[in-house]
Amino acid sequence: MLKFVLRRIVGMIPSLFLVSVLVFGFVHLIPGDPIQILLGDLATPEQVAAVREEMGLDKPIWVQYGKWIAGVVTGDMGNSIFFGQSVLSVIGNRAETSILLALLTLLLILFIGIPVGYLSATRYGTKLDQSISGISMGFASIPTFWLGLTLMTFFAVKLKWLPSSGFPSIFQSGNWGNLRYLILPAITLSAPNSALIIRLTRASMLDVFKEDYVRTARAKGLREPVVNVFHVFRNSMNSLVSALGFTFAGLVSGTVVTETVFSLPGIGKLVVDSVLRRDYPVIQGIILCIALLYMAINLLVDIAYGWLDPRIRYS
Amino acid sequence: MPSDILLSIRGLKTHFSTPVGIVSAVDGVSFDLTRGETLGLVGESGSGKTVTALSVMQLYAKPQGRIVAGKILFEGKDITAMGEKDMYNIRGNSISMIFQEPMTSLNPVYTIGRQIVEAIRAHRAIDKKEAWAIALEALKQVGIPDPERRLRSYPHELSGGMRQRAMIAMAISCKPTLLIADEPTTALDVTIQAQILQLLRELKETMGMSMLMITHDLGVIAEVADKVAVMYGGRIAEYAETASLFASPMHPYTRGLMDSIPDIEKESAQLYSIPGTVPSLIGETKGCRFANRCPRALPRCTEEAPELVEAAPGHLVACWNRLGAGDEGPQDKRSSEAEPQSRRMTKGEGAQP
Amino acid sequence: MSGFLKMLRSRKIAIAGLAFLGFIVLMALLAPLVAPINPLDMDPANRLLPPGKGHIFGTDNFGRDIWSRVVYGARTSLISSVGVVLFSVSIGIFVGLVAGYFKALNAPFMRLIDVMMAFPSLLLALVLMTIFGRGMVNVILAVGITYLTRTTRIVYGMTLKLKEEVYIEAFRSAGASDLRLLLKHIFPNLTSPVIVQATFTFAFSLLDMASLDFLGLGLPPEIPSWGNMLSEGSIYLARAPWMLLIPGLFIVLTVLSFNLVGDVLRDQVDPRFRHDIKGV
Repeated sequence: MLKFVLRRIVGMIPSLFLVSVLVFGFVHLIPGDPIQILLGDLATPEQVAAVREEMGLDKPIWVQYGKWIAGVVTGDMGNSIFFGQSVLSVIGNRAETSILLALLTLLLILFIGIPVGYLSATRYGTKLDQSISGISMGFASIPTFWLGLTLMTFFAVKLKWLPSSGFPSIFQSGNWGNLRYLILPAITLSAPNSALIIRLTRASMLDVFKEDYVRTARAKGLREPVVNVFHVFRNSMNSLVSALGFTFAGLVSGTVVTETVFSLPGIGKLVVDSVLRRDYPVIQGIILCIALLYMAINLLVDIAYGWLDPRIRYS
Repeated sequence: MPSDILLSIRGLKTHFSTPVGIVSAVDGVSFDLTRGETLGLVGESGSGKTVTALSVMQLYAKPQGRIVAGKILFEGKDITAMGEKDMYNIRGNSISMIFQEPMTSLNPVYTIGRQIVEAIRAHRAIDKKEAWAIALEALKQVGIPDPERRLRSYPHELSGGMRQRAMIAMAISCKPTLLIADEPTTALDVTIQAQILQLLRELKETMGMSMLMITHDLGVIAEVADKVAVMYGGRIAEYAETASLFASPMHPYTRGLMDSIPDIEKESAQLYSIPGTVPSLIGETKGCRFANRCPRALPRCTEEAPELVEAAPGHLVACWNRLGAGDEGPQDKRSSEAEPQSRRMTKGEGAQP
Repeated sequence: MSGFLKMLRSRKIAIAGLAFLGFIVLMALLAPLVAPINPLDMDPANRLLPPGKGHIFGTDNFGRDIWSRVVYGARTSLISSVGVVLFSVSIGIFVGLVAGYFKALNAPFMRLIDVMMAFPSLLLALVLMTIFGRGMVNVILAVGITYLTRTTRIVYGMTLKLKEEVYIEAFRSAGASDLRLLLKHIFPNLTSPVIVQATFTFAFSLLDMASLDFLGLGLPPEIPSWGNMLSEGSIYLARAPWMLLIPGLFIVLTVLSFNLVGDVLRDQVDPRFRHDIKGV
């Protein structure tokens, strides 16, 4: 098992290298001089030259990359142009909101997506299944921000049940009641993603329904719910777990929009703000973190896969 | 109802609704299975033999499939009238079934032991330890070496033959009175086929079970069956004692099946195959379903479906122009008249069971 | 095709989807006829009018006619989505075919795709937009690149599988050239799955581009697009909810229609989803 994990991590090294090159290269693809952007239009050519030397931008590109990657490995991703703080601390300050929102959303997705998908698959072809399919397709077709704004108009502005925007830190205030600020965003974010999980659960269970061992399970005289849970759903978990990376990517994209709609001080809003402010070190830091997180999730998926399927475990 | 009849199927019709129309996969099947005997159900793929078995188990694809007529009497009770609850108590308990593909018929994520124990505990109110002991006993009974270790193995760690033995162990763990075996040896190597057939025969004797052996292979039938029902196009073409059927087949289709068995002694240049393909069972059909491939077809055959009638004591056949003693079979005709005829009728490849 | 029609008949809702798409396309083509008011004409005296006479969908914060903007917005949105589909499909087929067919390219290609997948689509599009700057062609390129990965992966996987098929082997041993095999024997088999993928690309790129517009990183604000209309509408959501509601409904219905049609197409192509009866 440990060997399997180690082998996978070693196998990731070329991908990590490629990711770092892409992230590093992105700043160099932006038209214009990054120093000029960094210092603003009023900087003199001397100032520009001084900063260029200070940051090592006059060196060959691979030296710059070496310096950058050495910094990244030790947790130094440079300083934010806008905040003046280190990129890592800027991201760290925004992490609370995004992590809480993600957890809340994940909870909603799992508790809606899987049971509803299960219901839809076990009632395949019925009116219930058809309505679930229709509704979930509808939710997958709604733009996240439009749903967010509509929910906000109705539940925050009209009914005043929930706050419409912002999120005071729970970490600092210790007030867990602040979670109510995240309810509408979490519903917004979970809607399209739940729809995805519903469809995925349904499709993978329908695939398993056709397997011979499901017929064997029925022929043994097992009751239908037992067959459905222990033979159909259990075996469809492989495909569900392997879709986790995909779900994560969808969540990130949704978070960017949702945090902007609800003005949440999270990483998603930070990306958008940084793009508008042209704060390149922060953008670089965030996309690097997201890419690393995605790869870590895929590693976990692989491990879970081996754990779920004995055929992979022992080979 | 005489009590020595374990399973009696009467006029069974199992139809499927598909996007292209109603498929009458089983269309009026009747036969009896006597206690302690083995009945062979033989036919090409698509002849309805598997659907017949799945109808007995009430496991045909639902909701597309439906039993539209007929009765399946098991130990005197009509299975078609039973609810799912009663069926739970029958499946895997008094009627067990084993399938063609041992590779895919066991759940890959559970150990053999877990899967057998699950079957036992579905029917017996006993704890896991006791069930495990029964499972071990079943593995011993089917001749799996090192059974303690095998109980903890996953299906992929076993060879095809061993998996089929494990399936059989699972099927007999609740001591069923009827074992349905659906092509149990088709996917296996020839040497292993013989072993599995031998095992099934022994188990039937020692446990006093009855067996319904579904196969396309007359060789298997000759090996294990006491009686045979030949199926074609969802109907029974012929039903007889095995010896009687082999000695004097009465249905042209049965004769065709026999002629397509390669005979080592008679070294013929080409293997005989019945011209034409299995008919489509979509929609209403008129007449005998074999008529378009039959070398003995009469005008009447395409008009009126023949009933299954007792042509000799215990020998039933559904044919308007059945073979009598001394009738020449298609094998002899091949060089003369059957050739052009078959070319005229053949659309796809010839069936070669 | 006849299978598709048959399938459509069994799912009446998909017919509604197809009809709606036809309506949208017609609306976009005949824009000057169906929307006589110039979508750019400002009329400060009549700003934020609710739907009613004269302006059936009301007016926006500059007094522009919302119906006209929806109609011209359909043009923009459809053209950009078509652009994304054309871009991702044409390059995706080429790269996927080549990478899947030549064995030496398999491993490096998979590595590249792995890496590309690590950047979530909207994030990648955002980053690309900062490089490219706002503009219609740039939006098409940025979103097109994010969808390129998916299309390429599908084509790559299919090519890999098709390459091993017996009949391809047979043609190869008969002396067919690589180019001939690729164009004559592998490519035609890709069309159905690629069409299915294109339908979904159409739907989801529409959503992504609307999101970019909303974030202020898509089309320049002066171009009428459904996303830009929503972006402006979000500011007035309390005073003029129709500014948000109407373009939003058009996006939802269009995307939904594409998804419905795509579903039918997929069921048609992917035998896994077809009716399957065991034992017949």
